[in-house]
Amino acid sequence: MLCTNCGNNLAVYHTTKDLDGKKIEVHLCNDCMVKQFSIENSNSNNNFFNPIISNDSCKFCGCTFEEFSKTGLLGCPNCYDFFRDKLKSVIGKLQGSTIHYGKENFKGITEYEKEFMELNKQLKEAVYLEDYELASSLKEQILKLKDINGYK
Amino acid sequence: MDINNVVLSSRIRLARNIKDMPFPNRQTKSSANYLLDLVLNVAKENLDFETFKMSNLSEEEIATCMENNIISKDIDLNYGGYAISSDETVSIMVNEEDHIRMQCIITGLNLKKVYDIINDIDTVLMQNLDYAYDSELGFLTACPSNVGTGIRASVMMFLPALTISGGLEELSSTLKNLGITIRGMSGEGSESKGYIYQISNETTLGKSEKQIIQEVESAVIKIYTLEAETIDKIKESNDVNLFDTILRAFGTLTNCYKLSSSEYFELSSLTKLGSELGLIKLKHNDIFDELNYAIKPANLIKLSGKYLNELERDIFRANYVKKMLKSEILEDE
Ligand SMILES: [Zn+2]
Ligand SMILES: [Zn+2]
Repeated sequence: MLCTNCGNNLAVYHTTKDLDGKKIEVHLCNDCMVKQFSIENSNSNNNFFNPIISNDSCKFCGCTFEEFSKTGLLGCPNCYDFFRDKLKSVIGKLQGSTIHYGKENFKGITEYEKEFMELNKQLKEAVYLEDYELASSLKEQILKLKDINGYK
Repeated sequence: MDINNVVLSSRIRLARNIKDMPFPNRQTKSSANYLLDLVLNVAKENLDFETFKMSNLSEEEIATCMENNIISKDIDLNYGGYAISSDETVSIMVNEEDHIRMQCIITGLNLKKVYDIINDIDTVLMQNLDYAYDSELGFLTACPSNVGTGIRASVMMFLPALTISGGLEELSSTLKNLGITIRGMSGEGSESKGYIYQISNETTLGKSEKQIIQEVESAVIKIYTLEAETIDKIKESNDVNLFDTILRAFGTLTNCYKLSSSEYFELSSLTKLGSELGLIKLKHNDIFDELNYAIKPANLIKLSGKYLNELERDIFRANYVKKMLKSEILEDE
């Protein structure tokens, strides 16, 4: 599913919103989610989160990378999005891999998204293993898949 | 030697979290309570588990649960809770380091069966909750050391011969290279007073659950073979001092007035080793598995039916162990 805000990227965050008593489905990509939450938290009465947001903190929970480095614990699942690159280098050292091969969570995901995710994962693995031939063929497959499903 | 004398139990734990909710280390009161109700309700309605909130339990009840490994010491005592299956093999902790920590424990070596059980439980929860999941990194956890599969497959092993012979050091570094951790359960670091060790996977990413389980199981079988070989060596060694230590330990265990739990673990482990070496003949080899749980403080209080202070517990423990073991001794004909 594409982001309902910008329409450019695959949505990673799904929620419903109350708008004048009507429930509206919202699907956001990573970029729009970050923007959305920085706005919401600045005038929020959501008492699930109690963050002090700074420029370099997770916009959901307020956790900074420095805090994580001290405690070894992240503040919320969305921290993985905010600190993805830095975290991946930590995880790579810790786990010897940054790719999940285990059980998958397909709840609420369409066939297209499933296929997209599968190819994307293979692509990341190919890049990781520096198999550029396989990577470029996977890139083509992804473009084709997007094309067939009407995505650019 | 039977592998069941060496392998005590198989356990698998899965770590899961709910998306868009702060992890327990950053929860507010309302998010913690919301999450507790959410998960306990699903466990009750969809799995028919019995559910408990920590805030409703007495100190003794909590201590018993911890001694029986149903919950861990890291559970949130104000906003934590747990759900448990009717046969008590599966428990789901809420608000520990992660939102959800579910585990299944059975006796003997059978990680595949344990995984099948816990995987079904996980699938039911997954269908009824919104797990925090990332297509690249898998199931998201508070600590990145659990991210991905969120699995910890562990096997408890009784390794007196390897401990005494000093073979564990070398073994532990070999295992480390294979991504397997060995941890002493009642002592510091790799030394273990009760000779009981936990063998488990170190990493949770880059491999499937099946692969991780296979790696742990094959490590366990290797360790078992080594332990059996070492037992044979000790038998042949005719180590008079060791044999004397073992029989004296058995003597004390069955003839003392008071017995602390750490002393119990030391003496019972030597006794068990004695039975494996054929020095002591007992009717049931697994008698100590039962006793290991029964002699813990909260369980003793339950057994005696009244509150006991530390000294009273030590006296009760000595009597209980004596009674149980005396009926276990096989007389030579
Ligand atoms: Zn967007
Ligand atoms: Zn966060």
